[in-house]
Amino acid sequence: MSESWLDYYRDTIKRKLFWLKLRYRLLLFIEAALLCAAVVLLASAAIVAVGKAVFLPEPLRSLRTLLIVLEIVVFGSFLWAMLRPVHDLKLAAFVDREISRPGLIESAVDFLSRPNEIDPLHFRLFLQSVADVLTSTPNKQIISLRVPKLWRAAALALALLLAVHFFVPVTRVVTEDQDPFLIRDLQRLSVQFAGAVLNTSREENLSQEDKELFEKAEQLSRRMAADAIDPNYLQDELLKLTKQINERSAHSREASDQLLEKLLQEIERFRRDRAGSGADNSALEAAIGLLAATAQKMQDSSLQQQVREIQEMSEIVQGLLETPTGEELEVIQNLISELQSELKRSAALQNLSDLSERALRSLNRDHLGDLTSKRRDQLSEQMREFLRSYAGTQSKSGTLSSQNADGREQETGYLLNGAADQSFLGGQDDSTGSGVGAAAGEDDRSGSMGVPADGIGTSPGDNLFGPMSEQAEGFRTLVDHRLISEDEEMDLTLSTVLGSPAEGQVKMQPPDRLAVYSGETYEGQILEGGFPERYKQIVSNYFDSLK
Amino acid sequence: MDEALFTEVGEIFDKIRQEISRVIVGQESVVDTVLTGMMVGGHVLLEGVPGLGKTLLVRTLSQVFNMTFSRIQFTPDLMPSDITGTNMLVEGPGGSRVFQFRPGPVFANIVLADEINRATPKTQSALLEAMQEGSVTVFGERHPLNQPFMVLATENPLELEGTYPLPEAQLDRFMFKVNVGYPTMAELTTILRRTTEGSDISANQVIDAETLLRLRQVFLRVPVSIPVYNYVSRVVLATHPESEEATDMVKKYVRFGVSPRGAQAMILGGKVKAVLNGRHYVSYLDVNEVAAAALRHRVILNFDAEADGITPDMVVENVLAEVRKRGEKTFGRVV
Repeated sequence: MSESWLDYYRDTIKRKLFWLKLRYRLLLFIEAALLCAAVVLLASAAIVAVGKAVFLPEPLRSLRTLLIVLEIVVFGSFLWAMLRPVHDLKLAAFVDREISRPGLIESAVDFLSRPNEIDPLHFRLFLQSVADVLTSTPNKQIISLRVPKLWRAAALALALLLAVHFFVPVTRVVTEDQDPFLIRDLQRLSVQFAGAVLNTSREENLSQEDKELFEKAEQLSRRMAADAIDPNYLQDELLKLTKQINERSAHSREASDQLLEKLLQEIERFRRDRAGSGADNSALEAAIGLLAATAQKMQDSSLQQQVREIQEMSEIVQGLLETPTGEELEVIQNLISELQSELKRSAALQNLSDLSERALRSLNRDHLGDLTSKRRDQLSEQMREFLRSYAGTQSKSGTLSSQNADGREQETGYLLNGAADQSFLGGQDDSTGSGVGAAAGEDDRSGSMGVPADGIGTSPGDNLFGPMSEQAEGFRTLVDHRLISEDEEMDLTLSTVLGSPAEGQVKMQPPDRLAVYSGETYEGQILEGGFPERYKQIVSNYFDSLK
Repeated sequence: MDEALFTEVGEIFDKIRQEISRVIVGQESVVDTVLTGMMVGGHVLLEGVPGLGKTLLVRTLSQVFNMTFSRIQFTPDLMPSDITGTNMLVEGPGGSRVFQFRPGPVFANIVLADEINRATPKTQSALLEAMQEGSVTVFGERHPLNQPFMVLATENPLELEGTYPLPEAQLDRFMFKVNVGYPTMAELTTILRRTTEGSDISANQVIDAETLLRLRQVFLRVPVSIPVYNYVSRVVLATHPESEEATDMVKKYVRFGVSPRGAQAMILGGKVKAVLNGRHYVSYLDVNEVAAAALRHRVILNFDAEADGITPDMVVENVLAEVRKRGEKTFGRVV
């Protein structure tokens, strides 16, 4: 059969089907992408949920991974939809359903594939009706690119993921990729913790509740000593512990206050009794007066002072007990020893509470980066001033002299050599020490530090500070500024600017070194050391800003 | 093909329906199904209690088509020769005696086999050859029947005592089985008015036998797509309890499924429906429309079905619904 009408209708129908097929593929893509996205989101929700309970490696739990997987599935869905074979008959059946004409396009596709078997009259009239239907109906009406019902599943999966992310509590204890600074800090704190616990547990009058609390603190200190403690978990535990300690501590302080009140009353009563009896013992009265004065003073003292004062009172009463009237002081003595125990308990609890809060602060030190970034401009101005001033001094004297605490005069090619040496190196191993005091080149990781050498931002008007750089991998702090010279770039950071060996270079310190050069200590060393007041002021401002 | 006739098919059908409705009150679906069968040369079995106008319908059809009509009242003593005719010894010219074939009532365009289940199987089977082959053989001599030839048989579902239910092979010869139901109140009132007021209403001729044969060609040439053939095959296979396509209901209640003649009946009936619905192709809707009439007498139920009150119509409905659902699963959704 080679009638022109057949060719005409065939072309018309095929052309229409081509565009319909494209829309069908798009619909396939949308549906497949939604389906896959729903599956990925569900899987992500499961992973996040698991990640709350156990440690999962970084690629698994990062948002970036999720986005990459989503991109892959969307792109994969697109490829699948565009490349998969779509048979004309299947497409026709789909179109028939969409236009509510069962079998119309399907029959057309079938008949066009075997035109010689079809009665010509029926065929012509049939194709005419098919062409009429197809040409009179817009493609978008035949196959509308609607959002499939599957969007609900995807939205549900997303909601589940968000719910798991935000509302499921972290129950994991261990993580593997721990901040090395944090580990170090926590390990140090754990030692102090353990010490405090040990000291306090020797107290005889600890209640059962106190003992349980200290036991808990001991367990926590052991966990803090572990390399793989999860900060979120630890933070929760420390918060709970601090709260409990503070409650107990408040209790103890209350008891101490009551005992002190009682003691005062008892001393007062004793004095009245003594005055009533008319006995004349000026030494005793003087001692009693001292006791009363000390007790009065204790009311406004700090806990540490109270501990010292109660000790003094105890010694006074011990002395009085040996006198003939000693028996009358027994009640006072009992009250003093009771108060002494209670104050010791308070002090122990206070100590533990301080440690716990310090540990909590350590955990929050990641905010430092944000803080630095917010105050970057101000800090950079201070740093600029500091470096110029230093450069000016250097150009006058060649080197900067400083005198450290033990009075030893030393030449510092770098700003903090003496201070760092004195404060940290005594207890450190050689590798740490060499990085600070000796020289660059001994340790490649630490390298040499520089407060700027000649030619690098040393004269006013130079473009001293370059663009801000990203957080360097493996380093704790953000790089505040990048110093750019003709030959090299130097990263200026919170930690490096104030303390690394200077050999004309400024480099970031690796984590193990950075702990040694941590800012707080440097601050103290610089301020107490024999550095120019101007430097001290700048350093002080700098750290104040950071705080 | 006669293009002019093709364009007039709808009009002709409307006229036929109109003429029949002058005599037969209501029963539109029965009339349509019978006409559908008639258009493609199929035989129709009408089942209904007496007095519902079955015989009148057949007679009216013969008037509308202006075709010869004969009625055979089936009784237990009816003999095959009473249907087919027989050779009679007659005196020929010159006094010689020769056998001469005397055609029976089957030699008509429209044969009404009234209460077909009252005759013995032997007599019933006399219709087999006539219905299937369009001829009868008497004393070894084959006699072709008039064309068009159509058997309209009636069955009374009541008074089953002393009847001989049609065997499956015989039932399978009928293209459609139509259940003739009671008229509605309005229809009954009209029937009463027409039949008790002494008026003699009869139908006029609309077309003749020759035109019917030409129309038949128009219907038979309506093209059917492979997917529709496949669909019908799936439906038919789904009625077979041992088939993979069988539905749960079929597996539970059906003893024997539909024969290929059932599929043929669906397709042929679908062709007529397609034209009458103004289509030049057979749609799934067309074959569905005739599915019940084409399949209900071919689905043989088991005892469980009888016990549970399951009818063949329920099974057919279930099969159609299931096959449609499977089809939607395959073709309907995008993914």
